[in-house]
Amino acid sequence: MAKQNFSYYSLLDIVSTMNHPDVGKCCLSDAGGGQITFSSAGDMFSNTKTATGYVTINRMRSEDGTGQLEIPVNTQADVYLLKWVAFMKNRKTKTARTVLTTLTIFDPLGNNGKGKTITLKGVVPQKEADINYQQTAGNRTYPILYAEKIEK
Amino acid sequence: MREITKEIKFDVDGREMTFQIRKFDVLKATYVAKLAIEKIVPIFTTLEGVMTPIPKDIKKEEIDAIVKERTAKVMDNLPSLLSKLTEDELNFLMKRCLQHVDVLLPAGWQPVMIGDKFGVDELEYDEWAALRLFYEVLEFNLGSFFGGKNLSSILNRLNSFLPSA
Repeated sequence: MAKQNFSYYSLLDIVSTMNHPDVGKCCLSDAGGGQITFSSAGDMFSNTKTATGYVTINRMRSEDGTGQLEIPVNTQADVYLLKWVAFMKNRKTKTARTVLTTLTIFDPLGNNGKGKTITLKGVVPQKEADINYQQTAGNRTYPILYAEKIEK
Repeated sequence: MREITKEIKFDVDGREMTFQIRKFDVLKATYVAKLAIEKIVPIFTTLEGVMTPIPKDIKKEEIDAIVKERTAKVMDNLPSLLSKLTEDELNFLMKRCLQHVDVLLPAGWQPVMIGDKFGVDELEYDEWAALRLFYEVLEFNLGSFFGGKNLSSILNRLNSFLPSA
C-alpha cells in the first residue's frame, strides 16, 4: 500500500513584515488569514538555436518579480497597506526613498526545519488595491512589484 | 472638551520626532492604576530624598559625601526594588503604554507598537525613548486617578532619570 504523504502550512506559522522608514513597519501575518504569493518575472535560462541545430544555453540573472498580498479587510495589516499605497502614490519628496520598502518572510519550518528567510527589496504597489463592499468579511488584494529577491 | 490625545516632541537618535499619546479607556486605565499603586509608587517612596536637589552653596567634600550616601541607598535597595516588579508585569506595562502612542512619520501617524511588535524601527532598540514614552503615557493617563499633582510628583522622580529632550 502506498504511503500517505502530507504537509502542513499555515500563515500563522510564518512571520511576514513589511517596512518602509517613512511609513513604519507592520507584521502582515498577524492578520491571521490571507495569502502571500510572489513569482519571478524573468526567465532563468534561454536557448539560442542556430540553423544547424546548435543550441546555446544562456543563463540569465533575474531577481525581480511580481506578487500579491491578500489580507483580511479592516485588520491592522490592511490599514497599514492602505496607508502605504496612498503614501507611495502621493509622495512628493526624493524619489530615491520610494524604493526603500522591504518585505521579509521568515518560515521557521522551511529548509527542513532549519528556517528560511525570503527578503524582497524595492517593493512598490503595482496598482491600487481593489475596493469592495460585502456582507461577509473577505480579503483585499494588493498587487506588488519587487526589484530583488534574496533567499537564505 | 475632554482631552484624549496629547502631542509631545523629543529627540530620538538625533532626530526630533513627534508623538501622540492616547488615553486609555476606563477599564484599561483602572488595571494599570492598580499595578502602579501596588508596584511603582512604593519604589519611589523608598527612594524618598534620593532625588532632591543637592544645594550648590556647600563644600565639594560635602557634595561628594551626599552623592556617595545616596548611591549606597539606591544600590542597597535595588535588588528588592527590582524584585517588586516581575518581568511579566514590566512587559505588560511597557506594552500597554507603548500601544497607546503614535509617532508622526511622513506617511502619517504610525502606532509605536502594534500588538506585541514594534511599528517603527528607530524605537525598537532605543531604551531611553521607550522609558520616556512610558513615563509620558502613565502621567497623561493616571494623573486624574491620583489627583494630578500627587502622581506628577511621584513620576517626576522617574523623569529625573531620563535625559532632557
